[in-house]
Amino acid sequence: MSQPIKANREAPHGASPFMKAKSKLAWPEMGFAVCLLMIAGVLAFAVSSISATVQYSRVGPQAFPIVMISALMVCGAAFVWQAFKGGWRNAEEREEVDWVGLALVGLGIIVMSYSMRIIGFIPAGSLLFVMVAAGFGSRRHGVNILAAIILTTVVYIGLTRGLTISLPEGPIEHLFSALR
Amino acid sequence: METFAALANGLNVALQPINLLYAFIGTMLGTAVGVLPGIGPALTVALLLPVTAKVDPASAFILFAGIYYGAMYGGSTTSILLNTPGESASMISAIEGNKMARAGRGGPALATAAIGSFIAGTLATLGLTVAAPLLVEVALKFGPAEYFALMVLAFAMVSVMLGNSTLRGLTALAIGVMLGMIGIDLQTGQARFTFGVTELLRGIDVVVAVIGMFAVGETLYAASRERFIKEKVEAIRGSVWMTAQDWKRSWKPWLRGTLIGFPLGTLPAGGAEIPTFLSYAIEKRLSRHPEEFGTGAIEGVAGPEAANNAAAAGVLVPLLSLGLPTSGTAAVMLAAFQQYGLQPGPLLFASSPDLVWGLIASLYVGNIMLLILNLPLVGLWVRLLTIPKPLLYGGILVFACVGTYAVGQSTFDLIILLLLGILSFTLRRFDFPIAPVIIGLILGPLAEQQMRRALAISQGDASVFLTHPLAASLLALAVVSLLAPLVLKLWRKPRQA
Repeated sequence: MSQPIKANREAPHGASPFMKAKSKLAWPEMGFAVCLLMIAGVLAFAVSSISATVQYSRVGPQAFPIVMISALMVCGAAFVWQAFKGGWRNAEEREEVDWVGLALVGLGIIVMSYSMRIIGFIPAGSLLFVMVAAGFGSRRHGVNILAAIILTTVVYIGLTRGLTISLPEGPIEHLFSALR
Repeated sequence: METFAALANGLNVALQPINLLYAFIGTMLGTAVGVLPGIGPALTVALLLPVTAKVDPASAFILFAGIYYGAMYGGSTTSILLNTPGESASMISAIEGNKMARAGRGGPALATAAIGSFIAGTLATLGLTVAAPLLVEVALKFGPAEYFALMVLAFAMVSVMLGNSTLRGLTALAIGVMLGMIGIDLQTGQARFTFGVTELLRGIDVVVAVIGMFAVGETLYAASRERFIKEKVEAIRGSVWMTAQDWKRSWKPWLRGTLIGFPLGTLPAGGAEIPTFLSYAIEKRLSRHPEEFGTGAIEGVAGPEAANNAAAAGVLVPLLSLGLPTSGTAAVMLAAFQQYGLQPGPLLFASSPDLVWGLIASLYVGNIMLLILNLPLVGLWVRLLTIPKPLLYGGILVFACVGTYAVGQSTFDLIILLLLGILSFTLRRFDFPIAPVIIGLILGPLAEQQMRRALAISQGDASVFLTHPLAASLLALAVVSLLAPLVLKLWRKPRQA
């Protein structure tokens, strides 16, 4: 799995003498807990709109989700309580976030999603590649553009010719089919 | 003996030239993704699912198995030389391994990891060969009630064992199950949680979910931290080979690691993290050089690495004989079986013996390939670590988008991909484990199906889960494993006060 986990397993509650000192409301955790509760609320509303059809099994499509939504609500309430007691995150998760980098990666996917059908896979994929590279702080845009075009072209030809998977076509891709 | 005749048949399948080629490609790819930070075996198999749709299932699973085992080998290389685990189960090896590399003993560290992985992998595959048919015998007695109880147990143990807190594990699992509920309910044809969006009617595809949660989530997380971190790749100095002393200090940890890893891997608890932690703790206690721990003790690499690979084989036991995935990668493999219209479980051993035994036999073959690939060629893999991060993650996202688009030829899926990535990033920032989300997404709908089936048979009488002794004991185990950490915590509290 690609998710590195932390070496120090969570210390048991009340184990550290510092726990009492920082028994302050943790705002990020509170925000998270409230969001979770709101989502659970919306889901509960959505469950109630599934029309109840009495079935032979007597367990309709609502039963299982109701259990899960209840679990989410109980957990959400517990997180609210934990947030009041100072939150649960350790130093690693409290570290700074590079919002510009994050936004560039996210925007790249949105741009890819909306432009792919119009300008074709190779330019749209290259755009995504360059935006992600910029999000990771690369300033060598020329090198990135070149790498992006080579990669997307190889992927395009490999998948469409080798594996007959169809990818969106634009002017450049039409050129490839014309050359065929 | 029946088992070994079946295995011999499997070897016949695995040794066909085309399947040897698939095993080779799988082990190469697996090692590469294990080495590279940001991509793991679950993601790689998911990305390959649309691509392999037209390949013969036996060959496809030989490819996937190669990736799965390969990633376990490759992960250790990264944790030893970079101190950033390529995959989470290699985290412990980073503690001692990286210290060894800094002290110029990177070669022996890599060697003990590779040889230990080979020995543990081979022994544990042998365990899988013996244990899987035995479990099949038990599984044949299972009805829907027992399957449901087993899945509830898996839910409970996954919540407890993956990540740092039961509460957060449970939340991640419930989020995953709810994602799995989106779409048309197969039994009644009713739309659930689609909020009027037509594209959601067919549900969230497992491939899209895995790519979003792992690839996009990981990329977002890495992008948010890239400006603030400095990494250094340790060069391999000195001899790659282990001295007589190294061998002497390694062989017992290898065997102990195997003994810890395999049984724990077969439990419906998931993942290889716990066995590696355990193995490390035991080696530290048993070592004649406890003072070396923390400064580069070879036992601290040999044991956990063996445990890691043995557990990886153990995870395949419940997957193949019960159809129960207990790790992220196993969940994706289950999705792969479903893609071919196959249902892993006792019946698969009877209906597609070539596939099951070909897969198991290929694990032996793959292990030998991996030993050869990893020892002399380690220098080549290390070069992968020098790929600049911007280019690496740019490439990962291009592949992520291609894989997502290939699933349903839909650009809407890319938006789902981004939303899942943001969800994964948020969970990560709040110290929630990601693997339970994927397990819930895949196992949730299956558990619901078994529950409704059981209740249909009993004509709605819920006591069916308590009157079947096997189902009742599995459910009791689930309750115990959920409550045990809580009780321990409450019991410990007054003593510290």
